Amino acid sequence: MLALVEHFRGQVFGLCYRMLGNREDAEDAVQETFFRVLKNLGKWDANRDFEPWLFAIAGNRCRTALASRKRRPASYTIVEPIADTRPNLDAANHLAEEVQLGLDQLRPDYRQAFVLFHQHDLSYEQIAETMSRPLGTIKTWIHRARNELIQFLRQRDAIEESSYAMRRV
Amino acid sequence: MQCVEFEKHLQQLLDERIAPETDEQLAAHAESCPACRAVLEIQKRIMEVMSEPVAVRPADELSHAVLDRFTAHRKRARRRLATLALATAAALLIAVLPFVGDSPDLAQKNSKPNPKVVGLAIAPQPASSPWNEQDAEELRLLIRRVFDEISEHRREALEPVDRIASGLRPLTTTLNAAFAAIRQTLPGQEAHESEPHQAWTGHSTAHVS
Repeated sequence: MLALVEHFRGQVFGLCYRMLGNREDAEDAVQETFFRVLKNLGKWDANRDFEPWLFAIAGNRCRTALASRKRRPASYTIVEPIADTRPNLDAANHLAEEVQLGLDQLRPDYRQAFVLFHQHDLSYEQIAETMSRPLGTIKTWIHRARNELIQFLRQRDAIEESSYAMRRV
Repeated sequence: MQCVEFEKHLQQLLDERIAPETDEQLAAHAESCPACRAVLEIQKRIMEVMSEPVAVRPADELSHAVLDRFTAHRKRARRRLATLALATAAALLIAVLPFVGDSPDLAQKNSKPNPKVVGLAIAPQPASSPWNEQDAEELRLLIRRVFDEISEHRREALEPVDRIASGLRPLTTTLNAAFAAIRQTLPGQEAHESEPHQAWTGHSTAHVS
């Protein structure tokens, strides 16, 4: 059991972190995901890939966490541009943060599909299976996610800044 | 290439996991269109970020926390199952206890005729009934035969149980006693005591042979 958790821990954490945007919530979701996976391992169809099933559970946990976050809006993400006064901010880290902020603005469905495609390299078919949606819907969601992300980053001038910072570094 | 085509082609390349900046058509359009050049640049950076694992790492004790939680859950589930099994066994014991220890003879002696069967047997019959004594006798024999058959099946079904668990023997004895007691209540068993001929005349199932 430990080997199974250790093997997929990083991938599941990656998805949960991208979905939820902070470490604590992501760790809670990971724990909840693996608990459910171990509890329901008998229900997994051995003729199918394991990852889509695993990511489906993780995605559901993340959406549940997001829904409960909505119900108690105590914390929220600040999307206003903030001047960073740190002297040697790493450009790549800055860009990664900006992308994460952009992902946070996407609809959870779009975000999950986008992350599964671009970060976990799942095929459209596997994502459709994971999210229990038609293939066409998944394609549309990912295209919209790309466009919205680009719009968000353009509005924040994130690329120009980071490109400049990278050139400067 | 128009900007709309640029966007469409960009999506296609990304769908096929091809780096957009390597495409000559896109590069040519981006050269002449600052807006699309910006889109291409942003897209490239997004792909760079997404291809890297997230910078934050989960806590090392996370895996053990998962296992601890699952182990605790399994223990609780086992305890619940054991409690349920115990409760079921206790309920069965309570239900069976009154019968255990009665001998078949005693059971027969103590048994009272089933009021429903007796009620049927002595129910008043319509005066214009086409039933006669012979029909009633045939029906009685049929019921006896079916009942004996059922009892025999029951006995056969219980035989393996008998072999496997000798502890269940009192239960089978009790069941046999109960069957015997019920059999006593059947019409015809006490023919001379309860006026069965009168009771069975006029029964609606006249055509049973």
